[in-house]
Amino acid sequence: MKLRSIFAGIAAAFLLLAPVIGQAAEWSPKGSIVLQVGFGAGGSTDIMGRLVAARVEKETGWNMVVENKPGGGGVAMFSGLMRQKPDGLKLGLGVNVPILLNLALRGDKLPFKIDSFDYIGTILRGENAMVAKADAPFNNFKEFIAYAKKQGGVAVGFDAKPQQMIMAAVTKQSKAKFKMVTHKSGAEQIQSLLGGHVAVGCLAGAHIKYIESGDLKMIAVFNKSRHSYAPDTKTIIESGYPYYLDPYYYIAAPKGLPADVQATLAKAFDSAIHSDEVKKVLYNTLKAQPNNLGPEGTKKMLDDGVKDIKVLIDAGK
Amino acid sequence: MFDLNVALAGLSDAFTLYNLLLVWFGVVLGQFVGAMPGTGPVMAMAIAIPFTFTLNPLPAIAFLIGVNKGGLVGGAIPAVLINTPGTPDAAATTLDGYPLTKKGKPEKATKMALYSSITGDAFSDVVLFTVSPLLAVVALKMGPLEIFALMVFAFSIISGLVGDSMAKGIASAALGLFCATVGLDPEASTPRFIFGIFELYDGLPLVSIALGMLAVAEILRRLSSMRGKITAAVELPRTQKKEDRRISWAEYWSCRYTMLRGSAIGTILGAIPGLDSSAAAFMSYATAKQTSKDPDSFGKGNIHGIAATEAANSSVSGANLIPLLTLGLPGNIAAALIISAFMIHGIQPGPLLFHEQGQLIYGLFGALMMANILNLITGQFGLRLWAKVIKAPESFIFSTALLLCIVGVYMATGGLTGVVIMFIFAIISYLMTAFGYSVIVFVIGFFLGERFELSLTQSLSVLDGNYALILDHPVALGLFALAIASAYWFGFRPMKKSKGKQQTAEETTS
Amino acid sequence: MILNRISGLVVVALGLLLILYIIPNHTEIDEFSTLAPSTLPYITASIALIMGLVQLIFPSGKAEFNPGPALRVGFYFLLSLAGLYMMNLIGFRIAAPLLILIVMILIGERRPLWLISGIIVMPLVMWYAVEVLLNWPLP
Repeated sequence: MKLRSIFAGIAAAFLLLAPVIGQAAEWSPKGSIVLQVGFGAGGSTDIMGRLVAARVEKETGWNMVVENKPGGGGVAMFSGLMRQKPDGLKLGLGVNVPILLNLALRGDKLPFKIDSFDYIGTILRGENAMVAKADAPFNNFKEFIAYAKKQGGVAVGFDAKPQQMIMAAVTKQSKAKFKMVTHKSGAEQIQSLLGGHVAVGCLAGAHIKYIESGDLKMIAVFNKSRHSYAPDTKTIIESGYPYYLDPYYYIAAPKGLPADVQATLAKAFDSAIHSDEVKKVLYNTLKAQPNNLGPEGTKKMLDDGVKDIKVLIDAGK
Repeated sequence: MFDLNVALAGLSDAFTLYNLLLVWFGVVLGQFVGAMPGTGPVMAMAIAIPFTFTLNPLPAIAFLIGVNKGGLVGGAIPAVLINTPGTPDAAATTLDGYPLTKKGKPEKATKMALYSSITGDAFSDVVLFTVSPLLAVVALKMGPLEIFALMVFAFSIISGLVGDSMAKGIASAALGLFCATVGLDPEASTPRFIFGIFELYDGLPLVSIALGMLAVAEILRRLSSMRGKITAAVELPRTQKKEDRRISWAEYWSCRYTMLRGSAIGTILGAIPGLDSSAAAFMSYATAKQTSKDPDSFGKGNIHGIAATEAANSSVSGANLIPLLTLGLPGNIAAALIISAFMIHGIQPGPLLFHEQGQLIYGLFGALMMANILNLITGQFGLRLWAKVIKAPESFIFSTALLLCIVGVYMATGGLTGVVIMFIFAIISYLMTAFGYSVIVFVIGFFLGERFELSLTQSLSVLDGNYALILDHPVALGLFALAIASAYWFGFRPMKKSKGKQQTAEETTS
Repeated sequence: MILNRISGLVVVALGLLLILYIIPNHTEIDEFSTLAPSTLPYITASIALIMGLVQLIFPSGKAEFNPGPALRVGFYFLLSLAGLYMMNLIGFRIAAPLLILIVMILIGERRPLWLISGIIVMPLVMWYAVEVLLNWPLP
């Protein structure tokens, strides 16, 4: 009897406190929230997802489960996600570039469109750059183009199709010739760069520590705006080539998410993404600051992205 | 360059009870997940990484290394005991491990696997801490053309495994290579042969193929042969002779060259980022078989076969740390996970690591040694336990193994599609075996295929139609020459020999 | 020998199927590539085709096919697929023990203790390890 009254007391105390806690979260999940990662276990997206999910769990007390659904840079995961119930318990983490590219190139074969989802936010923007070995005889994009023309063709490493498309567009505009050498990852490109097998590489983050150590140097930025760690390096837009590549890591849910659920999730993730713990890891691993565009911003970024990538595809042809 | 004080400080950082317990926990976890078919150290490490964030750098990395090394030992256990590799690395270990178990010597087989695994591991750790800067520079010089030549060389060595029909062997390798082209092509990223199944964008999953063709096929075969009569999974003689349960020093010593060669192959391949440890195991096995005085005893329970594969696949793990520590380049997924553990703590592996973080590096060396020793001790106890497990009736063992394969592949591939693919390849494997097509060669073709196509594409881009440029790559030319020599030595010469034998045999019988 | 010839014929048929239908219809053309997406598939399929022809004309090696066991393997294959389908439908916790029950009964296990270990204990241990300890959802 006594024990029971203690429990009742505790319960009552929580009920009193509930409105205070409840202000932060009107909706609370019934059951675990599954965050599906569109890449295999161990990749940068997977680690990012696990860190953010762990932080959300710590801050809200919700049970977060991370599940890997690799395939086609997120296409497999989003194809499955769109068929789930929009109850806020199934979320997906992916990268925009492969999704946009597939939508632009073979959208008729994909089951989903950008409108098939509601969006929670983005975690960060990947930093895409062209880099070369420190002793390369060129220091910026203009000099690099001139060098390529003089040599009659230089080897350029890349690991994602859009980088190749940008270089195709640059070839068309400048008449410089590039030998595009495909790679599996940024790390393998750095191996080729350091070993002298390619003259420049198109990298998305793996290069930053080598810039700091002085083994590699920045030639150009592929993003829309310059990078915080290399403020003097110009974007290729500034160098006269109106193309860009802004990879965003973003979180989506199946279409039809109730507004309060979306708002609560967006808030919870925003707070986790901007927590010191996550910030520190993102900075240590990718030298990137969290960059959350929010639900509407994410949707707009994707809508614009599809248009811009179509422009890029046509420019290279 | 070498600073004794830093080294001692680093080592004393490592040898604390706390670290010892963490490494031990990692080793136990690694051996366990390694022994479960489908799950492996990579998955365990990926799950563990967010938790290691709360630890200090050295304990965190020591723990992950423990998991990784434990997994390499664990993978061999079910490979030897029930012909089911726990991890793809251990695929080649089934070749001689399981026949030895069938002969009623499971403990001998698992112990040989354990000892050679530890030996290979120790070898590569020593290389790592003595000549890694040198090896790393050599590995950097391996460009697309050199890697392509190395792949061709690997295929030529594998020709020693095709069996009694060259036509069937080459067909198996070609079809394995074909299956590796499923999914996005390496250059243009266009989907191939996906038939609307988006999971296939990344290709047929490696674990599905390895477990399906090697493990599930065997399980189905065993299930179909059991009809009402239930026996233990392995019939052990009632009184096992003592020497059948252990590896004597003489036996271990007799494998020294095999293990050394395996370790060297594993270390070299491991130092080149991007090459796979299963390839090292098969290359080591094929070489051991061809250089043996008695190649026909391979595949029938020769301890040299076990020693060759386990020394090679275990030495890869230490060697993978060579490009990681010296250049900051991960050699495989496991190394990539260790790199991310470094980076989460704000330490950048790379050219300056030895210089800036000397104490941590020597601490790491201490952790590697601890992991190695703990692997041996834990393995000794673990093996006894596992060897008891297979005394259970085969109805229990094989139905449980079937379920384990399903669960493991479900987890590794993130869905039931991967599991269905596993079963389809199990049937393909069954039919191939029935008609005398080498499943092993098919699997190797598949394992090597992705890297083969990638390096071929890269080489063509670099050459850009100007094939005379090959002359600037003496290493590649040398490897091509070696490939031709070894194709003759491993492939055609034994074939002729065995044909000659067959003929004489036929003549004498008729 | 006849089995070897048949296997050669199967490989030839497979090679032709790949070269004439599957490869042209299931690869794309990309204008940027140095190595077309379909090149390596064509090469490997052609090698298999030629080797199949060699095997058809000059059969070599061992081949042994027993319809009895093969049918039983096929049966267990279909049974497993049915089990997977059930897992997808009603979840691992019910379908997995059911699949194991059928397999163990079919191969003739009747001892209750082993049946219980195989059907209840092991799936439960796996479910607990994966879903509870690792927090990894099963079907």
